[in-house]
Amino acid sequence: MRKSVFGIAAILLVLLCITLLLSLGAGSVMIPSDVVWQQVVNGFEGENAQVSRILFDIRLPRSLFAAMAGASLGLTGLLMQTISQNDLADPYILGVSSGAGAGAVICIVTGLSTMLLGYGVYIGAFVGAALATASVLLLSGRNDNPLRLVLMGIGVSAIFSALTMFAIYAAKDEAQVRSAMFWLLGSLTGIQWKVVPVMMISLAVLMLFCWLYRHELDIMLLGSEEARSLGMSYQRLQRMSVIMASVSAAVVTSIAGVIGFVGLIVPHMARRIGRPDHASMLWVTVLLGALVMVVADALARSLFRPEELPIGILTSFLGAPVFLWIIWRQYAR
Amino acid sequence: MHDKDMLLETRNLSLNIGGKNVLCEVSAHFAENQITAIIGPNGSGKSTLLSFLTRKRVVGETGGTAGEVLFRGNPLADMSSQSFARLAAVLPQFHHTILDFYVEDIVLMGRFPFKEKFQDYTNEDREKVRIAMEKAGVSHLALRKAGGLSGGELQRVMIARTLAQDTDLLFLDEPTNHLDVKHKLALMHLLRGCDKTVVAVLHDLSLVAQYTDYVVAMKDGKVYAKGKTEEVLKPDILEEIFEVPFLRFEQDGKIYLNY
Repeated sequence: MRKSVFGIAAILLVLLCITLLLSLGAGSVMIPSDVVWQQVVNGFEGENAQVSRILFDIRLPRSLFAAMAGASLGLTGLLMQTISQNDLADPYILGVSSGAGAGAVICIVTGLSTMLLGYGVYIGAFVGAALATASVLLLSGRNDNPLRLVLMGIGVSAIFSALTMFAIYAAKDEAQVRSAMFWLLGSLTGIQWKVVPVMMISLAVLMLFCWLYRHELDIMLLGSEEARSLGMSYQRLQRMSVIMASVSAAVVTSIAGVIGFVGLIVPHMARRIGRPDHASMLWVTVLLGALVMVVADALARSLFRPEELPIGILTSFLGAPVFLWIIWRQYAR
Repeated sequence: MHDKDMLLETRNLSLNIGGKNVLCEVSAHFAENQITAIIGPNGSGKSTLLSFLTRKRVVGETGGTAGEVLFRGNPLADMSSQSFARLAAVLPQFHHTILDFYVEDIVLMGRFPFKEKFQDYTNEDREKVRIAMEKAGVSHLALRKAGGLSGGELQRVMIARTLAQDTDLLFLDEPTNHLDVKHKLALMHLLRGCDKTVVAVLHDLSLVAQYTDYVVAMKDGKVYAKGKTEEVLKPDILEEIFEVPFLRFEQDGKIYLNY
């Protein structure tokens, strides 16, 4: 049985590599795949220096980031679904995105974004996400009812959304509003090499966490009472997981903006094609998340060439119907 | 009952929820390597008493409590939750089913208290799971998903998980729920045959009569009668507790009850 998951993982890995290569060709300037291959084989030192620069400086970091962000979002969604025992949970439902959004928009509108070495937006988003997470944690308190956690998340989310809207409404200058909106839609435009290591470390820590606690996360699905009778400290793991998931979501959101529904859909797909235990889910979710995001990003930058579609719009278009379908199916009776 | 047999004990255990005495000064003993049944009508406090023995409720921590719960003379709450999980397995009345998990993985969870931190389950764990599944009669369901099982099959899977924990103490809340006659008897026979201390909430008085050593009979949150099974399961006592007439007859040293 375990072997079948290795098989699925191997297939996904091959698919991911092929997709990554193909995605390098997509964009405002289409580059044929044989040219891309030539460039990759020669270490991006081809005769056409401009093509090399587009591939290595712009598209490679972007595709790598997309893959890691997708993996991270998928795994974060899985973690959130496990701790809340709710198939509909993902970082966005627990209010992390709203917090990050409010933080970033306030920074843009107040002009704080230009200070702090130009990292103002990222820092603002991060602070907002952390604030939202802390609020949800504090408000849920020692109560481990999964519904309470989710409802608190929705409440906190509403407060931060109102803050965001207020900040946009109060903004004086058209360019600020446009910049804030664009960021809120989620976009991978302008991803550079400098953010790749941050994303890589964040994903590695998240994966390590999920691997170390793979069996505990399985037990968590039994609910607090049975988990406790098996000797597990439920609330401690729940709290650690919420913090871990929030930090991961904040990292992605503070770099790429709000990319919804990836954290919701990917674990669902992974459950269908692999085994449901966390040791197996970890690998399938990571690979599938990466694959989904790389494909989504390639589509986002080539569908309306030379214009680019913010990836958040695309994932919402693809993800929202799945979200509705899950509710339709689960709450039919 | 001699003190040396006494493994678990409650002394004047009381629980008051919203002015109602759910448990009232319950003092009961549970002897080592014996099967003790907790009986009584619905709402008499059976499951509540069990919840204190399984540490789901703890005197002092849970509001409205008084009294003591002792394990070998020491407060039961003093034990770490891992030590307790290595000592006692609990089969709850209502359990949470992970619908898309395979049966073998669910039973394997019973080995969690014995697993080294961050490590995988060992081959020894898997062997214990295999034996437990055989005993509970669910070996053939190993590769089925829990979501597709019937109520009785699921109950046997949960029994297998409880057995896989392989503890000296078993707490069972209505273990024969959903089971057909054959599997009911098989389960009771299994409990009879193992060298464990069993505390079970049971509704089926015929099973209590045939398979248990001691009985704690509850009514309105109080212990109405306690003692050896044959001493408690008398028509006059049972009629007082359950408020229906009982008939008892014995054949080949076995007690049969009719109502």
